[in-house]
Amino acid sequence: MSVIVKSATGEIYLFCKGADSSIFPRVIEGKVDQIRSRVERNAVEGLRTLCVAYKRLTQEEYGGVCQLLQAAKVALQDREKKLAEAYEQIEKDLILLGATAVEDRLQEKAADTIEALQKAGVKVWVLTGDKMETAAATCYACRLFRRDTQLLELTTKKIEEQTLHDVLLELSKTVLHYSGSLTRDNLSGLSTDMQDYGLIIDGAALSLIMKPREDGSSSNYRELFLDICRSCSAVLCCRMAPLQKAQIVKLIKFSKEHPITLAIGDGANDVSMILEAHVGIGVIGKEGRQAARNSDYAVPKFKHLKKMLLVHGHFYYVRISELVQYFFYKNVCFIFPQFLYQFFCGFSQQTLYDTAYLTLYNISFTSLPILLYSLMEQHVSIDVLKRDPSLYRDIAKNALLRWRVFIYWTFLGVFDALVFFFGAYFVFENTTVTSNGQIFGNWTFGTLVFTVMVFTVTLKLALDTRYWTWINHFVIWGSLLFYVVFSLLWGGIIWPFLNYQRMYYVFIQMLSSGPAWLAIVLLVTVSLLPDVLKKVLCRQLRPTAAERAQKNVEGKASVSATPSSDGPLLQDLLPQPRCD
Amino acid sequence: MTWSATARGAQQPDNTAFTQQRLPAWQPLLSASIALPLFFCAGLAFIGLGLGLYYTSNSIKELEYDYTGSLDTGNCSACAEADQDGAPPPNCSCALNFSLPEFFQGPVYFYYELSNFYQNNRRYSVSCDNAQLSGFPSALRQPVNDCAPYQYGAAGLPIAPCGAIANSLFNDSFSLWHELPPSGPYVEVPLDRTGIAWWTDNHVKFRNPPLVNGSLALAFSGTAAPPSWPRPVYELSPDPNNTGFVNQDFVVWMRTAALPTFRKLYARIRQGNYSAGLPRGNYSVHVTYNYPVRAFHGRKLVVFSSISWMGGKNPFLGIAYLVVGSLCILTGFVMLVVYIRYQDQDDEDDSDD
Repeated sequence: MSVIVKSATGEIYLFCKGADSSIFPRVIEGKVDQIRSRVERNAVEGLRTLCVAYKRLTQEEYGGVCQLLQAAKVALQDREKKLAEAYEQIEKDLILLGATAVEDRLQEKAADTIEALQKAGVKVWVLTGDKMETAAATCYACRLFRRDTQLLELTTKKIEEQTLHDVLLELSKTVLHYSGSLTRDNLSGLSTDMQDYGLIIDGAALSLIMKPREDGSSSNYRELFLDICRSCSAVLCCRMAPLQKAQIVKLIKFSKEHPITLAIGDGANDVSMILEAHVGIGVIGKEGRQAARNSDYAVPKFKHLKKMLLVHGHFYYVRISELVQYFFYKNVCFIFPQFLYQFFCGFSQQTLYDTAYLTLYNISFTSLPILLYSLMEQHVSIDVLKRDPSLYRDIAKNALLRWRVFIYWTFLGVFDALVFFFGAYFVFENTTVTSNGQIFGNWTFGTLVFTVMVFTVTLKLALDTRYWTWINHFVIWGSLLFYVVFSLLWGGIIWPFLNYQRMYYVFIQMLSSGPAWLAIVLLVTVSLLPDVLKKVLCRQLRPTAAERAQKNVEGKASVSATPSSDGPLLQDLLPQPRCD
Repeated sequence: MTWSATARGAQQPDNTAFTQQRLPAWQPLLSASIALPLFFCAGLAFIGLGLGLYYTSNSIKELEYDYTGSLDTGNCSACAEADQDGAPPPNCSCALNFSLPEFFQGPVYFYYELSNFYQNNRRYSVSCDNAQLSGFPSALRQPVNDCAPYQYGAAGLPIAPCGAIANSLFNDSFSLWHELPPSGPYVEVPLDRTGIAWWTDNHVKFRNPPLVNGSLALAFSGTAAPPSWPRPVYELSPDPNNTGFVNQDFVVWMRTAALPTFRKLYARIRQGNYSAGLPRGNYSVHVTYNYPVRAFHGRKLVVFSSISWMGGKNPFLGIAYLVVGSLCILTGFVMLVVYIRYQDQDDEDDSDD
């Protein structure tokens, strides 16, 4: 980056600043070696370095420069390339002036946040444009690399010594050999002797890996590279151009396991990475608002990422997954008895329930409870989530929306529907259920099934709710009350102008029958029994990390012990069998 | 960083308990120590209820007699033979003899039962006109299109009551005769035909059109009877309070049944000498066999039943409660075992820590 100035005396100078690796090749004069060693020392201390150089231009040279730049600026094709070439030509034969070093302090609690994320099972990668030494020093400062982390380098220096192929193979042998032996020995307990690996890669090496080759071996290199990355606990990519940052995010997104990626940055050079990742977060910082403008979420400080992911992200996921599963469940409960009824009505599409019930089921009777659940549910309290990041692993790999969980909910819905329908069928079958000997018709039958169903699905949600605010009480009991009141009103008034009287007095007649009440109690209990059983047994036999935390909180309330751990516990890293 | 309560920025979010998710809440834990007592209590309660229901159901008596007249049973077979070609000749009657070995505790309820008759078929069950049956004179002569093809009669007159449900009104009639011991003449048992339909159906939902010059027949002038009816609607019964749309048999029939095998109340036996019940002896039901069911392989039965607070004989509820109660107790024991075992294991783990 350069600027051309004219002094008061009419002399024209060109001043240029940039990273040391781009300035030094253009310099022909100056104390190069001295400044180079000084820059290295600064970088190792974690300071961000720049070099400054200059040269003097004569009038003809200046004219030539102007012409060159003008031609490039008005070019209709490849303007960027022509401009870059023009600058290449201008910025050479410079005289080195010196170097600058700036201390870029870490934001408060950055180290704490990164540690929490790693405990939560999130892989943290640092993508930066800085030199390798500066970036490594910063990573040590923010505890991305710990004291016992073994650093593997995939840098230009190494690739110059061996070919890319050899370097990759050697690294993969180191890393994968270790993790291979890990699973075989099946270690358990504390992991004081588990080896942490950290990978350092720079932009040039990355472009070598990503370069498409004629022999098709580029995909092999990419796979090898991703395998190495997967086995490392932290990855540092330095000397990254903004587009390379996006490239690496894309590479990870489409790798074997299709992980969900989140990119957080605060400068304009992070914008492409923020746009590429699944979730982009911009830090509104000193470097302007470019990143925040292009992001999905903007936060004022890096430390806010911790609560955002571990608390809000966790809550949101639990709420959304329950919403989706519950919606399918309650509609299976709703429609399956109608389907079963067709076998008993000659397949003539006679509805089991009255049209008012059909219309209002999803709108009025069962909508508010799940809506308020998905806004307010806190299955674990906020403090526990913030204090114990490993609880985030409960929801890793889309745990609550997998096929297994969905099939469980569907089977529950089908089981419940069978219980409702056949329970009512056997109660009604060919006999009277009133004490005055009169017979009920098909609308009473359908209303019985519907009443049992509304109560069951609402009580199922009540069983799933673990955070009962006054609002939850209001909507759950209120929905049930509304159902009863609506039924009484709908069946209690003759609507002659609607030519619609088939529900007249049906609900009240149903309630005047003793066996109908007993059937409602029985069928609701039988429908909810498997789920209650499963919850209690799973809580005993296979508790999730959150449940264990809750148990510890209530069991050890008297003894206040803050668990300290230097690294992730091995048993938390091994895949847990899912229960919920 | 300290926030000043007075200097709120324009972008600062609300800091209330609701918006910051700090509402006070009850956080129950469905642990084994809560669920176990609940399971045991529920199991015991259900078993108690189940025993009560089963005992009650067992004490209810029910007798069924099939009088369709298929060739193997032989009763009413003559009428059945005629039915095979179409409707049996009007007033074909037959008798159904049975004997009661012991006293049948009253009041006894008399039902007729039909099988394989889909009153819950959709096209059938929409085929009626509620406005007409409510007695509005304007609707009486303009039956709705849903009633087709039983909407207008052969002469173009509107049918009252219109629709397939009304047209298929059950028209067998029964009378019960008791042979006085030792082998005396048969005496008719009085059948109470009132109060067999829902009170609200009879008195609110179904209303006759207003009388014209004090006559119901004139109120129905200009309408025709449904094709299968032998008599028009205002002559359904000699009793002027029980004829027209408010005829009890008609109202009972119009309440469409839920399942293809259903029964409907015909009469109660609770008058005169038989108010306490039916004594043992020989009985005969005289059937006026009008209703053709052979065409759709249906069957017709008469049912005598006593009624308790839980209705007719239905062992299902009692058995279901017993089964669920025992399941609850069984799972309670299983959970107790699991809980104790894992409690010990947890205590070991805790003591190791």
